[in-house]
Amino acid sequence: MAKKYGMVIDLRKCVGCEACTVACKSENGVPLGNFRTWVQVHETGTFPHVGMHFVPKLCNHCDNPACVSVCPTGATFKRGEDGIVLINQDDCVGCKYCMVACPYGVRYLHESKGVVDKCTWCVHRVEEGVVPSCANTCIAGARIFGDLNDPESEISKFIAKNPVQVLKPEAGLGPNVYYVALDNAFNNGLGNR
Amino acid sequence: MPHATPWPVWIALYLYLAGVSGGAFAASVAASFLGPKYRNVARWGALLSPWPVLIGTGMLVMDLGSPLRFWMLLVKVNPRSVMSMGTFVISLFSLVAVLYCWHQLYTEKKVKFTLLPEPVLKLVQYLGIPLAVALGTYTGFLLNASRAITLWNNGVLPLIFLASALSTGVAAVIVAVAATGKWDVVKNEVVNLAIADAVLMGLEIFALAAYVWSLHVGNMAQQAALSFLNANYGLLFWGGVWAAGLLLPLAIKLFTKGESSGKAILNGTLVLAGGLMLRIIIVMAGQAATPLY
Repeated sequence: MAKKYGMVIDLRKCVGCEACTVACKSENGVPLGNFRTWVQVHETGTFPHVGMHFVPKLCNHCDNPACVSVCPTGATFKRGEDGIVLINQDDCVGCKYCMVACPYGVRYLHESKGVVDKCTWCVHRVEEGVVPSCANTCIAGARIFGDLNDPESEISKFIAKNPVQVLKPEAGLGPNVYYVALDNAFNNGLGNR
Repeated sequence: MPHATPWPVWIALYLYLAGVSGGAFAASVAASFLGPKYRNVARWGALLSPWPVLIGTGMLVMDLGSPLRFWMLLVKVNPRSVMSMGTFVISLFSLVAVLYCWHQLYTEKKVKFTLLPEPVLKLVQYLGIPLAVALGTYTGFLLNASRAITLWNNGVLPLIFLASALSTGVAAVIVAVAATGKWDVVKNEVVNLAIADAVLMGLEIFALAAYVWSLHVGNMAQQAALSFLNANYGLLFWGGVWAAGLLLPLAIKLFTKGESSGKAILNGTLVLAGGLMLRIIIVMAGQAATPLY
């Protein structure tokens, strides 16, 4: 069976230290001002009953990615063997259609290369059998990476025992980044959705 | 941290210019089918139609992250991508419009040869009309395909853009004919073309009303997007697109007595400005109204 890589981010453990943001940038040489992953801060409630929640963001490597269907040159593709959504930078012309099509806003234009770039789930690390840099560095172990198709993987076992949610399920793209305690960050009604 | 507006205002301008080209071409071919009494419309439509889309495509290419790789859009094809399909519509249309413009210059003896002998000319005319319609519609489908952006992901949008493309293209021809011809000579053509434009604007009003209504009675995201549109682009949308670009020219056409070149030029200019505002608002407000987190 083909692999299907996914990630769970346990927001109960995230303290918003941005170690993942920094580790990703240094691992992948992400340009100044651009991010492949970052920590979104959500403020909730009204004074004096207020809360502050952290929601790390990255490419969801969707089952049915909007970016792949709109890409005019087929530069963006979803890899059959493990479900990683990648960009063939030799074929990307930088039209940014994928950037307007992605509801998660996880893509950016790499100005000096003139192509669109995003999280690759550290494909160069994963192919060597180690987890992505963000998951590796997380001080709280909040990010769990693994094969969703393997019932014995850490991530599958975790999802079996814990309630998880995804961002923007109504977009119907089948995102593969799962969150624990996500609704805590969105309890403002319309809020930051 | 997502980029709030990946597509800058140049994209809106490009969508607009492509539509003007399509409308001007359609007006030219339709006029040539109606015979010599519409020869000025046929002439100016043919002379005008290639330029806006060529300029617009130039802007589009310059906005690419890698402008020198633009040719790859013609070589690498993704049939699921509206942009990939649209590339061929634009390319074919541009080719047809240039050949048609060249042929017009040939009939005026400004160039020595034509690439469109009689049977080919007919083919280009018949092929050009669906291409012009496809071009106007494509600009709407292009935005439609982004389900992330509520103001774009609306089924009426391609119809609005088609109606606007045809009406602005016709308006461009009206302005050109009225501004360059002797009024006594071109009056009949301009007045009748303005009636055709009014019909197109009527269709656009219906489509635009359906669009606004579908947002008004839509889901939470659609209502929020309409609120955003009203709050941030309300004056431009209701005062610019609706009042100045559609209702005012229609009112001038219907309720003022007498015809003059000044009136035709004023109305045509209002329609052209309204169409441009429409594209800018939809492209910019659409992106800005969508929280990317």
